[in-house]
Amino acid sequence: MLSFTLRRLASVVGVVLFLALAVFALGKVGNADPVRTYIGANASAEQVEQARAELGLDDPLLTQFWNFLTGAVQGDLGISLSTKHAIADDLSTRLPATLELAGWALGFAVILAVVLAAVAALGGKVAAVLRFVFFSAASAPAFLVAMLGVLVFYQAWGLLPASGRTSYGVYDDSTGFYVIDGLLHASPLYAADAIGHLILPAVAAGLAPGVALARVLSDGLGASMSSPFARTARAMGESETTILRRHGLRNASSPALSMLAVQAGLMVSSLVVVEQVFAWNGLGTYLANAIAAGDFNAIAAVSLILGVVYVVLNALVEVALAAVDPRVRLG
Amino acid sequence: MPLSRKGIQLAVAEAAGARTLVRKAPAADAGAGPAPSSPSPCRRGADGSARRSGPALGLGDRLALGAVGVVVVLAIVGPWLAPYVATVPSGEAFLPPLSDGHLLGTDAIGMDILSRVLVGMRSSLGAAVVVTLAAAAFGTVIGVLAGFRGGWLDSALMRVTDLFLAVPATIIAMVMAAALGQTLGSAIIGIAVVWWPLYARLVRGEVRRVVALPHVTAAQVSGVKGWRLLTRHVAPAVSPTVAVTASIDIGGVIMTLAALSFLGLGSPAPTPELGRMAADGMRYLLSSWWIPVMPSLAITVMAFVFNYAGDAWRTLLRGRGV
Repeated sequence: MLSFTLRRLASVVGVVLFLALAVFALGKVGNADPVRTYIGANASAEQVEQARAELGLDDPLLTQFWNFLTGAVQGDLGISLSTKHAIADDLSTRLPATLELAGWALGFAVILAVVLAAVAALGGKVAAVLRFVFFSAASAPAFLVAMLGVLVFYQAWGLLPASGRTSYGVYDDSTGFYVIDGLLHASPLYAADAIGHLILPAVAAGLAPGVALARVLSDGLGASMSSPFARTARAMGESETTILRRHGLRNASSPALSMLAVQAGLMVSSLVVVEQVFAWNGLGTYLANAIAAGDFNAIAAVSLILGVVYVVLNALVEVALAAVDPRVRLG
Repeated sequence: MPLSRKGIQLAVAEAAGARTLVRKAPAADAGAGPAPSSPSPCRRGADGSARRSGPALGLGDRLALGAVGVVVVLAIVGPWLAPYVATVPSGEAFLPPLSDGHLLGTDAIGMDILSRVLVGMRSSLGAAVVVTLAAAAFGTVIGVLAGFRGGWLDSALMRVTDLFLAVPATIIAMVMAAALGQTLGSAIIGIAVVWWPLYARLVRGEVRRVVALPHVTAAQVSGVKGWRLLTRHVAPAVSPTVAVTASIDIGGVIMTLAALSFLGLGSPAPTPELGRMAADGMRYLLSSWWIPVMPSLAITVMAFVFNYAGDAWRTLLRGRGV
């Protein structure tokens, strides 16, 4: 187990280095001129010289990469070419916003997947209808789900807010997670309002992953519900729901867990899109602004953060799987 | 409980025949021919007859396969059917759907949405096909090299492939597209770069499986090797899997392209690109919902048709033992 964990750790370091190198190299071969983005097209030659020195562009490439790498490890992600602030400062309030949204979206995805898979495993005719539902939900881009949510729940019914994270101000000692803020300050109203703002974006970002997860779970359930141990349980007179709960779901959960990690990675692009629709001030909005401004420093920093989160998450899931299932760590 | 009683009957019927043992024995070489036994004696008649009379495709599957044809034809001839030029205003702005002469309405500067959607569908589908073909071709070359040659080349190539699989694909695609500039071409390159490793893994596994099959051994024994062994004996057994995977992937590629285009990583306006149209129309969502919703619906319809048909095709080929 220890050697498996160490091997995974080594591969995480390798993958993150590769990611950093790829992001850095792409920034160098790109056809946007970082200096012009930074100081504008009308700057004088001296200003250009000064900006080049400031951004460290006169150093050899290897030195630049080394600085990028060591800076990132110490939490210094460089200067944004468009906002002119340190990127780490820009991101300090935005990262919690995205993590909060991602957490709720994943939670919604898991609940949706379990419900859909359980219904599909129990019902006969329902399964055919569900297949249709699976495919339509998996084929709708996150921004369409988001738009329809806004049109129905905000414009037509006025039930849910359609933009931002809260209707109130932000606490001075905010943790960055508004629901937690509300609970910490014993203000259920604040927490409920934050949850209200979370519902539509979380559903829009979590729907597709939830459906994908449901398919894996339902395949696994199909296999375990027709396996010998389920047959034995049936012969002993246990009800289908008990078999599903006690034997089916537990055996189907391990491929579903790996799928969850994959989906968390895929969710990145829908999060970016959904944040834009709901004016959610997170990493996604920051990334989209950076793309529009040609700010490659910010693009690189955000990609690196999202990439590291994804790689670490995957490694954690694998280690967790290995801990419960010896086939994984020996295979 | 009616459910558990039915369960007991099933269990007793299956236990009586000890089917699991029978099923497991021939499964090892099931790839060579049709599996001789079905899971249960009660179901064998129904299953067997259904398979003999053709693939077990439901009405929905047939409809989906037909719908792919419709979408492909629409994407090819659509731009010629478009009532207006897609990149210049053709009427009053903000006309709702079903207006006179503008079936899907007009956008903020009066361009006809139907015409733009039709042109956008062609570029979406075309780009998705290019991405899938490029990824499948490159992945196949790598996979064949790794699986057929084996040895150090195999481990080296698979290390690289795993590295690409381990980094989040959408992020690399975004960074690629951002670095190469705002054109549809850079979005295509960005996605293709992250899509090939899946094919490399798949093809390598398939090649290694096929190389171990009796007909390849027989060919090797009679002196066939190298290029001829690969093209005559291994490739024909591998290609259906690649084709099926590619056809299933098109729906996913369409959606990934749409997401990149939504983020502004496709061609800039006024080029009609579905994702970009949706993104630019977002600000009119509450006043003129059709401007962002219509192009998004077009993406959904295309992705849905390809996802559903891909699954139907997979079921169909699996029934024939591919």
